[in-house]
Amino acid sequence: MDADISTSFLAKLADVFEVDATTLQSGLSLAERWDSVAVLATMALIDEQFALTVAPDELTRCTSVTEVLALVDQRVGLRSPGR
Amino acid sequence: MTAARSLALAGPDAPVRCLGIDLESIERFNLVMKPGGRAFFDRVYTSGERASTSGNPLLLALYYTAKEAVAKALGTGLDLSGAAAVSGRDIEIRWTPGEERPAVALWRGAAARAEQMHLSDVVVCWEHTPRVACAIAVGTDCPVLLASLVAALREALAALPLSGSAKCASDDTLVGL
Repeated sequence: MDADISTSFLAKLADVFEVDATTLQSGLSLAERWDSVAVLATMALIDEQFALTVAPDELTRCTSVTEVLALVDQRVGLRSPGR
Repeated sequence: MTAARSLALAGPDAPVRCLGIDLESIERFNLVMKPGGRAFFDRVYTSGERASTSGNPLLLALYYTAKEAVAKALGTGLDLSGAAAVSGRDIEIRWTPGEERPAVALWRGAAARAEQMHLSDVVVCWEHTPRVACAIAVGTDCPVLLASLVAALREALAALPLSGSAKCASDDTLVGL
């Protein structure tokens, strides 16, 4: 994932979880933070920034921001030409 | 909800075809005013809703709980992936200050789902405290039942463990928005 895009995405994702970006990246557990607003807001962000559609249960399985980024990377990789 | 009310809803001749309920923290909707909430705002609310809520967290929360309650009554819940076929903008909430309750318009996936359920109308009642917004959606137009549901909703909200001056709001509070 491009570093600028990643930084912008993480800043917005931090808004969703009502923390700052540093806290989000410091291993904050998302397990108990997936309310319906967080799920829809994250789905909308991923769609906006990466033109990707992810399912609610794919997100709620993510327990950290690292796993969210891995999910996005995996999905971006899957749609790349030649894969 | 009291046992008597539960029985009235669940009996064999009960007029409720389907029911959904949702409750959200109003403060959560401050998100919409931040960069991270913009995509959520654009994808969950219709253009009419975006205009009529004017970024007000209470209205955003009430409209959202109404949408989620309707989506639950339709048996799907809200989704943006297309998997459940009911997205936020498929359920449009219309409310003018002074009206007792909002009107609901169903589009695309939500309209198809309602037709599949042979549901001609979904009615929404909403309430709020200073911190929490709550909505109930029912597939009925029985006024007695609706009054009972509103009473139950107020009872439930009043019982929430809120501190300070928090208490169940009256319709006048909504009228005054």
